[in-house]
Amino acid sequence: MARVILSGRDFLYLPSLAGEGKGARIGLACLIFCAVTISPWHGAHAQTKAADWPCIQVLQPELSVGAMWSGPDPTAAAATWREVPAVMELVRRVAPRRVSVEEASGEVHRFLAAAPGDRNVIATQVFAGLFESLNAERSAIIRGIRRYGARQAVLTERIETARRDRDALDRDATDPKVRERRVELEAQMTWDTRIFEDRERLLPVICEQPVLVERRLFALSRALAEELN
Amino acid sequence: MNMIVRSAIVGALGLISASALASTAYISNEKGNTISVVDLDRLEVTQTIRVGARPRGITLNKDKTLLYICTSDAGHIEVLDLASLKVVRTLPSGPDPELFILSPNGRRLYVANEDNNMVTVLDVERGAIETQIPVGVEPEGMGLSPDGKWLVNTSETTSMAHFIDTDTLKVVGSVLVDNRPRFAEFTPDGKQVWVSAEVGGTVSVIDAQTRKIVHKIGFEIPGVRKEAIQPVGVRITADGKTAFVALGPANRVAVIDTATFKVERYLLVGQRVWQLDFTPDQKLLVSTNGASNDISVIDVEKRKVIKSITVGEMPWGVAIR
Repeated sequence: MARVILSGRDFLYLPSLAGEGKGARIGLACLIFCAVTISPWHGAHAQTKAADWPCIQVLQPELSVGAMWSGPDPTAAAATWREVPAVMELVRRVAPRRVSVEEASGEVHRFLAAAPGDRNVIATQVFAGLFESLNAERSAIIRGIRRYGARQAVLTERIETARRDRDALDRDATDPKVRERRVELEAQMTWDTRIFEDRERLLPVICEQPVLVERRLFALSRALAEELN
Repeated sequence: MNMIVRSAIVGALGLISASALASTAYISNEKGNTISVVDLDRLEVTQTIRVGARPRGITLNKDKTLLYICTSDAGHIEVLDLASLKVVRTLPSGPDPELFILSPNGRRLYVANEDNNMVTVLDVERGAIETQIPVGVEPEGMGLSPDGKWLVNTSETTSMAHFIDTDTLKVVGSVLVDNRPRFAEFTPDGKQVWVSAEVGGTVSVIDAQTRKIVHKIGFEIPGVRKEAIQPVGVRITADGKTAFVALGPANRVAVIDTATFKVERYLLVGQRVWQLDFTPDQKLLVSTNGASNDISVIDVEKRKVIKSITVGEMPWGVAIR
């Protein structure tokens, strides 16, 4: 069952994540930061949410080499893999997400099967290259998600300010300027709310991207490990 | 002719013994809402069965003909008949059942209800709740002494291991452990309970009689950030000599000498490893790797991962017969 957990001052709830119907309104109360848990998947269970992180997934800013690789120590290879053209070319080909994991794993296996020299050394270089590339890509995505979350927070503040301004207006005022201002504020709120909701709907897909990169790195590391002597 | 008959008999006997030895693993897939059936001889998935929403804890009945499944979001326990692979019965469980354990005589299931801070005691035959025992916040881990006398439940938020007398069904003592305890496992001699703490990153070894922590096991893996080391599932070999601990997003299973409490090896398995179980002959150990959607099969003696096998979405629990 979806659960929405709100901390003390947090009050907007996210219709798209909480699984409510289309008609569910953002309402007039808005979120600053809202911790939404749908389930303890991704280990969300285990850690406290970072304040500026809008995803249900636990934020892990960096990946751990040791959680991906139990082959030879890749520290030295991290500094040298770029000096080996074939390794660099392989990393350039298999790292991008447009290449399926199956296809990329196949290419890794073929590369190592045909590689001259010490297979363990080469596999470790490829691992170092993939780790660096995919970890960097993942970090860039995480920075983007944080910016996305920050923009949403700004938007919610704008909606909340407009609501307060509208409520401060005399509901029964006959002054055309006041009435015009009310209409203007309501139009702005409707528009901002729509943008907010549209962005929120995309959030689960966006938040999944770092997980997909991590999964890709793990799968490719495993393909490399299978080729170790 | 005699030779042919003899070889046929030998062949048939070979097949029988092979099938008698072959173990089957049942894996609950939390997101996929399925149970994967894995042939551990051929190391492949042979069937996938759709069950109720969010299956997590699973366990076999005493004669290993049925699989009990905590279908957490369905709010009950489903009973899968392992001959027909059909759900033949549902049992009440209290809300949000996450993990449970069967009494040694097979008559009771002790169920942790994560949402209402209770342990539900279920009479399996009658399909009726005997009682509910109030425990700490977010109960999860369930360990039972080999004689069935003591039940240890861990509560995640309260960070405690509660000792429950199964005769009186009352909590008689609680031990404070590290943050977010997830699993409790008795040693085969019943003298110790090992409790893993996911956020604390430790395993507390508790003397079952004095209810005091006698040792705390920490983990350090080169190249793994400390916060990624989150112990969950614990299994101890029948000879009591070796313990295996699943370390969550560290993607490793720790192998521990129970005499010295030293970690001897960290096996790289799959992503977000949570639960473990042995084959009945104890030759293999299976880990569920939730984030990489697979299980890893470990050779217990060689302490080596033999193979990882893709199962359903978000594998959680494992039971083997």
